[in-house]
Amino acid sequence: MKSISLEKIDKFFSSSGTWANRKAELHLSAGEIHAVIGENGAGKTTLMRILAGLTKPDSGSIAIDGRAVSFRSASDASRFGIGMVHQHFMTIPGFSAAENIVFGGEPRRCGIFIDRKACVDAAAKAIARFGFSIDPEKPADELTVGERQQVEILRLLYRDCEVLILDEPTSVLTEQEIRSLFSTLRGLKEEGKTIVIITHKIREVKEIADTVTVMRDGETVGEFPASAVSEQDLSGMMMGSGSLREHRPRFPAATGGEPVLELENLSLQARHHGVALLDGLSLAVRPGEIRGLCALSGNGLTELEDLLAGIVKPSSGRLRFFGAPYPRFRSAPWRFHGIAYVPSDRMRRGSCDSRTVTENFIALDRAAFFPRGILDGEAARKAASAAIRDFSIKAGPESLVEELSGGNIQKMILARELSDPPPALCILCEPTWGLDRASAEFVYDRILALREKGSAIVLLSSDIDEILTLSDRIAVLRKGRLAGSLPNGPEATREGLGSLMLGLSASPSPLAIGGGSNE
Amino acid sequence: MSKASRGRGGVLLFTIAAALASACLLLYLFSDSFADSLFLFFVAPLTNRYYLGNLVSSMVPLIVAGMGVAFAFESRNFNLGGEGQIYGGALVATLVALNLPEGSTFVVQLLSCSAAAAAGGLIGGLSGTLKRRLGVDELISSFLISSLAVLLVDFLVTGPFQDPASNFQTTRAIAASAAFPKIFPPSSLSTGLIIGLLASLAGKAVMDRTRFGFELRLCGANREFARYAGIDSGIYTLLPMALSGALHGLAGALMVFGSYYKVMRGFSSGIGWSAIAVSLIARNNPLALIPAAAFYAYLDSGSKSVMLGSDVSSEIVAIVQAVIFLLITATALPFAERLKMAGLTRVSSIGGKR
Repeated sequence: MKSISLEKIDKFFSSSGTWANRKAELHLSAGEIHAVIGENGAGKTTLMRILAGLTKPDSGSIAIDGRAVSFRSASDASRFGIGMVHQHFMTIPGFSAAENIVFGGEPRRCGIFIDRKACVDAAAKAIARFGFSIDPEKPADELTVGERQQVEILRLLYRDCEVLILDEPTSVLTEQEIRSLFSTLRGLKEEGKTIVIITHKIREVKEIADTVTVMRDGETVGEFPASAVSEQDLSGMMMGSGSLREHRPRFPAATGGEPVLELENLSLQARHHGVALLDGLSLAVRPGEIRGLCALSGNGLTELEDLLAGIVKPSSGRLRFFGAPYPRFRSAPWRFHGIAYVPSDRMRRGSCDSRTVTENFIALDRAAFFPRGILDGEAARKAASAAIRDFSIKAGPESLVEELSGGNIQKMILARELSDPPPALCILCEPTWGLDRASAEFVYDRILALREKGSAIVLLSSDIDEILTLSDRIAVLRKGRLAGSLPNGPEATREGLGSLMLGLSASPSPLAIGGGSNE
Repeated sequence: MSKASRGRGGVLLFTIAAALASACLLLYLFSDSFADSLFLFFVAPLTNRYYLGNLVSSMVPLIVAGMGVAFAFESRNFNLGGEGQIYGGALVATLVALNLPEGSTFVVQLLSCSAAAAAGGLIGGLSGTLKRRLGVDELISSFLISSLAVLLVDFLVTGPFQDPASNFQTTRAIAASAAFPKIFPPSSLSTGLIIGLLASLAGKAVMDRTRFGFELRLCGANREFARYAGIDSGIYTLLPMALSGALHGLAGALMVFGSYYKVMRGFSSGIGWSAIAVSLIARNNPLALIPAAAFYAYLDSGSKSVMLGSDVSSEIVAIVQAVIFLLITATALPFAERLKMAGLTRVSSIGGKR
């Protein structure tokens, strides 16, 4: 294979009434890293799904080395060596890493029995050959997100894929994991593989890609050598107009007022082996304050989310809401307490993908939409339509959530959680994961507006830029402990926070002493 | 998935065609006079008042029990205990009707049906409680409990409540005045049909328009999200199983009041299983239960007609029915697969954290 070209691809989704692709084009040459960049809903994923045989275009052509081909299914595309790693991973939890890697092409004995030992050997060989570092016998549900991604990539490599499509591969990774992914990708390029990465992060394009195709509103804006376009040009082409604004809160946080949320010496032990997942956390969040909490993955952020969500109980210590014991997980009155919660797992916890946007929207405030137990369809439709309009969600009230792009799903969740009246406490977990710049800007505006209205906001994020953009005060978690806590002033820098997260600085400054001395 | 839902109609048509075609093929292979058998299978059930009325009459328990299956399925619970729940409901309905003092027919019917529903609901609810409290798989427990219930009712029908005047293994019959009026004589079709049709409409309304239906379906679609939305998912294990059992019990009562007037040994004769097939064809949509039950009843009465009227043996007819059942279940497989996948993600997302 030397080249693949997609020409004049059209794809209309009747359920949402939108053109996902209109006359979209893509030209790949063998052995390059090709970035496809655009905002959420620009049609990147749809175009890639068409290339991978997962979606059928309404019209247009796909040619490999000049010969027209048509893919009826993903297996057709994989026969031509094309495979895709999805944004939401598809590893099977009960299977080991090795079984996931060889899945569908397992070494067999006598043609019928799966040879487990050979599976592990084959997987281990692939892991070694491509320079990965995962334990093939580890169950998939114990792998970190980065490792699961490696498994997905290895699955394609095991099947001798020549063209690897990665959908937003960095959106769920930490800085370190991104470094390692990029070096993996460079290695694969050396091996002659062709790599397509879908992204909306301009920095990544400049860093990793040879060629970049820009998409906007379903159309291809243009294709350029990555070195020949500036970040400003790319941004301009993606957004059409407008650019990133500076967002730091200009006014001091309201320091008065009783704390809305208090954590007192909170600890959480792992169920089986007594490891401390969280260790002696103390924090207080007051009205009108955004408290950013950041950590590398595996350092307690997920556990803290579950505690704040009320899903797990602390092993020791206390969690208080306006001085009273913290309400149970989404117990019916929670809504009336005024707690909003945007979960980091938006596909499983935050939404129900087999239901419509309207059904997802009314799911929380059922008392309002089901007066006397009967659905008020008119009110439900109106509320959903208003949310769609307010948050410019690309969908109709009757669209199924699974047909929405990740960014639009997140907007739907935010619309539901941040609606009026303003909640007293907002727990926002990775609120802009996978969102494009314009959507993220929009979400930031909403969050800051809530702050001005006096909500106490807890922002859990692994994105340092996001923490620095929004927070009034920043706390850093490392190994389940408070590694530092500081106001978001000139002393709060990317590098400073990064070294706290990594445990590089011994935190000599009084600002960064753990615990609640200045809470 | 919308593509899938568009494709569903086509797949369903294909299944129906395949079911009919395989019936033809088997009749062709095993019948001496193919033409006669074809006539008996496809046409005879519709030509005769008696057959046609009985066909429509047999739809009633299929619709009501099918709705029981659908409510359990929609909440991602599986009630395989239909047989025992129908049988138990029928016995309770009969006993209540036999022991109530003569009075308003309506009151007798209402009390008997309520008691039958309560009995079925208890049997189904037991599985729901076991799952909620102890994590016992409801698919297995409902089947086992129902098997027990069948044996118990067998004992009661042939023992304490045996009709002393009859040589058959049956209870005494309820008063003819207490039964539903016949509307299509000489067939057994009665006003019970109206109850069946109304139940279907009511089921649709409950499923789509009420908070209970919404919460139930949300629990079925994504339990993690349901919990996040503040829904007590444990309740939605118990309630759907109890409701499912209650509807099965009611189906048993309707059979007593509509057609049989008493309970004999082997009363349910597979209605509980047929209801699962009907619900699968209808994809848990209460309104679609009506045509699905009609289709199933039509095939069933065709098979009986062939069995009675031709040289084709009852085993062959059973095979024809089994093939049809298999095809229907195969069509429903994508649905079942989704349930399984949903189960998988559920396990992986909250396993070990709870």
